[in-house]
Amino acid sequence: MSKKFIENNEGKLAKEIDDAFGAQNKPKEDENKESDNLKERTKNTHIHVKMLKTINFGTDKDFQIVDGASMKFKVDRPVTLLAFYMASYKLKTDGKLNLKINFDNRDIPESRQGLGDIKNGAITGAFGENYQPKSDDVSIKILYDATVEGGLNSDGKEMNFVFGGITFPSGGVYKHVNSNNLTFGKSDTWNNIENFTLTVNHNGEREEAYYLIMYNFSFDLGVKGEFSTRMKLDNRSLKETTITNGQIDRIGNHACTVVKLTKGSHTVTAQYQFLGGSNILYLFKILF
Amino acid sequence: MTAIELPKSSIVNSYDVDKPMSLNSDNEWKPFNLNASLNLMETKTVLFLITYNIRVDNSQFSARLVLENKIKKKSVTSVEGLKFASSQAYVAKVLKKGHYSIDIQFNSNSSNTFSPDLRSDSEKSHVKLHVIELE
Repeated sequence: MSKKFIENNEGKLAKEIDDAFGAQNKPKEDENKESDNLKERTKNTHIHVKMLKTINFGTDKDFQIVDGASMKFKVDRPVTLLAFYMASYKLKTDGKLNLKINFDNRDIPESRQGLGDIKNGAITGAFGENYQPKSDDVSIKILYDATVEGGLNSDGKEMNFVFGGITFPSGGVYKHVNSNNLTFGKSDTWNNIENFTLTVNHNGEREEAYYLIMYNFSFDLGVKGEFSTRMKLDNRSLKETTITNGQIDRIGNHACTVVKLTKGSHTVTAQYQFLGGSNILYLFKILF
Repeated sequence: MTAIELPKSSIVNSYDVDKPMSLNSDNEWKPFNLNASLNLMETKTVLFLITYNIRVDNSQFSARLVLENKIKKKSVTSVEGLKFASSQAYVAKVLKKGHYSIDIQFNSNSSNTFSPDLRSDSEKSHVKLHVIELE
């Protein structure tokens, strides 16, 4: 390549070099050809996760199983289970979609999440519990209820449907589940949600331990507003659990974080902030 | 609310996006540049938690995990039509001994700038990644 040729084609050559290096640095699709149905394990920790390629949501019934969203696996020792689902979907028009987990043939109330009216949404739900092995395999199913037809095609870009569970050696699991109506007032500061406190007594052998802590809220807002939720641990705000929703009828807020707890009693408090609406109290009926 | 004790052997590393960033990615996937990594001395089960709450004013927003320059397609979350794009992603994987770079990519047409203020109690926008070595 002559010096003159390089001088005359400097811009073009520079772009070709940039493109070549850019292509090298661009992330590639999952090269390990990870299966849509992922079953992996280390000694005491097992992963059972399934990605559904194509799903259609109908409006025929109340809750029904998402087509293909069912799995079974064996549990041969006492374990702690973390089960979850993630859906990024498209409905034909603005509508509501609700999802929940059925584990071991039991509906799990705290896993229920809903969103709408919206066309393109993302819903995640999760729950955890200690599980004693039985002779039969355990099952995880995801059920849905939609007001408008829709679906998804997991494309690695905009849409996705993944569900499953992870099991690991049993530890402490603490829950607070609320099925009562809650009252919220307009507030531009963070307020505690009444009767929504979880006490965690870390009293095991270890002086300190990591805990996953999560919340699930889903209800009809009924008024236009901006509704945010988060958790507080003792006196520390867990800002990374802030989820903001609003301007739609049905909201679903779910977040999970990791904290290190020392031996003793700890308090997790759910907080909210509600912008918009008026200065009256709103009574929100918890749907699930 | 639920609290779940993690195994004794768990190791946790957490990463925040702490720099302002334009959200308009021109229909391309753009990295948050978390500068996160994982150095495993043995095969381990790893759980990734991604939580975000970003003001997009009804624009489209998608996010996904990239592990050692490979897209984890099971991590994709996407939403459009809300003032805040928010989601929680759970990604679990058994990883062999070795070094792994980790990042979150996003794709959005929002004209907003993501400007997290990690010190402010009133700040609602955030992007958080937890990397949990379970065993």
